[in-house]
Amino acid sequence: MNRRHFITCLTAGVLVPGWDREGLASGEIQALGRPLLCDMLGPSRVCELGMEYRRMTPRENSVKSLSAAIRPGKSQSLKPVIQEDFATGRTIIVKGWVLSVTEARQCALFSLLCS
Amino acid sequence: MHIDARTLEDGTLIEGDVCIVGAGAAGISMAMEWIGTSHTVILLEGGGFDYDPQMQSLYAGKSIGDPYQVPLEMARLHYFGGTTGHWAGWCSTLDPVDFKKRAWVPHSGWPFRKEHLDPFYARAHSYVELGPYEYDAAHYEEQDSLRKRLPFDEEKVWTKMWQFSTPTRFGSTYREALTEAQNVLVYTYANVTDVEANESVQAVAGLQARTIDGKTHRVRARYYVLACGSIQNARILLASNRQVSEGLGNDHDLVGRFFMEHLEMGGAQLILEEPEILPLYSLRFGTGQRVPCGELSLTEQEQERRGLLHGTTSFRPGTFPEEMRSFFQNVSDGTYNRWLEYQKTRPRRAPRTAEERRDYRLHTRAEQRPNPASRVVLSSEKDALGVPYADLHWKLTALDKQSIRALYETLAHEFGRTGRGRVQILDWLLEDDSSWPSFLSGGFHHMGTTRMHEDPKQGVVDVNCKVHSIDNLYVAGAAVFPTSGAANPTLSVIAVSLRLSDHLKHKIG
Repeated sequence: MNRRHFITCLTAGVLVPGWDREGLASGEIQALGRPLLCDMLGPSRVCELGMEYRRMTPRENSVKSLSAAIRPGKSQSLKPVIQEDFATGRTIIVKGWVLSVTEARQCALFSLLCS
Repeated sequence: MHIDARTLEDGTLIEGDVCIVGAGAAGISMAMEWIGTSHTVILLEGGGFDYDPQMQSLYAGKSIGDPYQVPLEMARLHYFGGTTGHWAGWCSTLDPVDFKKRAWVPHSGWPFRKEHLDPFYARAHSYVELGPYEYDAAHYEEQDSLRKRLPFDEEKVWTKMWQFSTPTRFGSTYREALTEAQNVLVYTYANVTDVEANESVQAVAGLQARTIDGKTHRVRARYYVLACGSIQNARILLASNRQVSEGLGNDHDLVGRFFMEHLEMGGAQLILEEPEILPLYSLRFGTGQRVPCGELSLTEQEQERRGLLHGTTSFRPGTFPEEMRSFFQNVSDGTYNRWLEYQKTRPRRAPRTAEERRDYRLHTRAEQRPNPASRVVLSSEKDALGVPYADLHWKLTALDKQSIRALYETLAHEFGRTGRGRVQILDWLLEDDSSWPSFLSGGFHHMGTTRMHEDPKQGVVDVNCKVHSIDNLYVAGAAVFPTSGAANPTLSVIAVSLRLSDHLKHKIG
């Protein structure tokens, strides 16, 4: 599978058959690695935000550490987690965007998966 | 009655009971209140009934402080009607917090509360041809079920409402009533160049008014009101320095200080999760309607909790161009001008329908912290009448920037918390708090310079707008505002002027 096909699948919310990277299965990728921000900002800007987050927090610069940090529990949607981040002030400014820490990590994971 | 001061014989003595200097929103609304009374009111206007570049040039001056993009001779209009000749008609009241002494805002506090001004605001509404005196967002929600407030934490964010004047041009709207009034003498082309005090410098003995063709007249009244705008009021007082070198009313070196503007800047952009037109917050000028609309602001308790100034943000469809990110990081006058040129010629995206709208630019109108270092001073250069120009040393503080940034951060959290959208704060707000970009912009809202305070050591005028040390000299307009709040000042200017008018009527008997 080439990169463009992968991004298309990821942003479209389609399972990526046969994908397994650093122990992250395709289903988890769909849950963790597809930021809601893609719908608002588009994948390329989300990717830029993710790269910037990784630059800001180099200790999280791997699929493994990011997915571990994001993972909310088995079947839980990330949207309420993100909203709770905003409610409690768990936010970070990335390229001026005020993001929930969870979604910033999602962006970072997205950028890694796209690279 | 109207008299062109240029047609009078040189040295004419003009006499009346009350002399109002300046025919803008403050001066005209005051003069209107006296029509039909038994008192003679002199209304002196430096310009004519129409724009005249020669008269306008008398307002020239330099910006010598923080970048101020608006040339001073453009910011205020020098003809009958004053700056209502180019105002946009935005009206709202100052808010209760603006009147309070706030521990976190040095020099804050008015000598009265907002409730005291409410009846004058209600009266001011008729002068700018507005609807009912109603600024509660809930009232407008009840009128239209589609116009709902954003569901934000009411302890942090509230919706400040605006009404819109047509806008009323005071020059054309009130010219006939004033020039036909038997007891109002409207003098045009009469520029006050000196305020002459009596020997003890405790009262004004008369004014010197000059015309551009070299005539000098004298004006004598029982009471005098300076209503020329914040910069020109201070200029007249400072330049009236023949008897007291520091200028009249300036015993404590306060005249000209505490100049304030509203910082009106694009500060952030918003992307909604789902397209929405935000009807309560949408300006509808293009449709020919002038429907009241809302802006978001931090609540009083949130301002107090975080030690912030007041400010609002409006929603304007569209996004700032992508190149503005780098533009904002590294700007100069040259790049700013090039950007303005680019804005004129750049290809325009076909407008989206309202239903598709998910991107908005967020614009701030922010209170400026009262700052004694922000001031009007006399220039070494003089105008055609021999009066030193007024230069502006606009000076902002770190709190000004911190407050705007905090407003956007709070809104970003609320948009995220409620699942409505995300906010991107522009770079100039994320840089250090001591620097300001060259494209720094105000709203043409000049305030302060003869601030109101009960203590003569802290204010030029007292609670009745009388100059502390001068018995019969008053100041009208935004010059007396101790704080600026986040509302365009015109409505408040009129309200405060009507209050002064009532005071003078009571005083004159």
